[in-house]
Amino acid sequence: MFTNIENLFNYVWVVYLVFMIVIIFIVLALLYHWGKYAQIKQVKFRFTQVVFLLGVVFLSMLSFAFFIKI
Amino acid sequence: MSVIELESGEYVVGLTRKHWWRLFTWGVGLGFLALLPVVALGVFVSFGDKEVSDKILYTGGFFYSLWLLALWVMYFVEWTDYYLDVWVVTNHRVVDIDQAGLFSRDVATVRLEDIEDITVEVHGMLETFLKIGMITIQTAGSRNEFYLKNANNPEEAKQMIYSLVTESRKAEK
Repeated sequence: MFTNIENLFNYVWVVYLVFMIVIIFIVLALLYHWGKYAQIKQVKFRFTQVVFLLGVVFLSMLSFAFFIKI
Repeated sequence: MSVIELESGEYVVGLTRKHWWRLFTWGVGLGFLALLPVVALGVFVSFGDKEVSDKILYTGGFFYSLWLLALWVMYFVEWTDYYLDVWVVTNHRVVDIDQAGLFSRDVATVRLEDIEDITVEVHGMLETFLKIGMITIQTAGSRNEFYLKNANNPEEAKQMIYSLVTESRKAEK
């Protein structure tokens, strides 16, 4: 039983890859929308975009740091 | 390409969108979900084995960072829905952009001269104090009703649109 669970860890990268593809897709969709509607209030959009992207980059790097340690 | 192409001589007078309260409660809910694994880990360590191997620690950290990333993105999807669900009030018309999720939206326009009535409904104590309500525009057009639920300060929005309608009718005469 325990050996089977250990084996599952060998496929964590598949989960990680699929998850990150979904995240990148959603991030691109959000940036597309924010760009399209940017004419309404540009400044607030830019600020939010930066905060959002910084969060995504930080958490992606954090997850990658843990991933290479597994 | 912008979602709203302004006509010549047209300018944006104001925006009316939903109240920030819903976004706030959504943020609190996601914050709670973000802390949940930490609490669960605390309980696990308190009542279970005191020693946690490095492999479990790194795996836990890996999945927790993915969990936080998912919550972070979810919050901004909700923020986008909140921010893009808006009435753009110009000196010629009211544009109702109804955003539902990432890939669904309904954009409708009512010209000021077609507006027949504007009503505001505020129900409840919290709604009264925070100025949350529903604003409805009755029109003479094919789509005879425009409404925005949980609008921020609907009374102010009503006054803004009403004064523009009055000015528009004066200009017609």
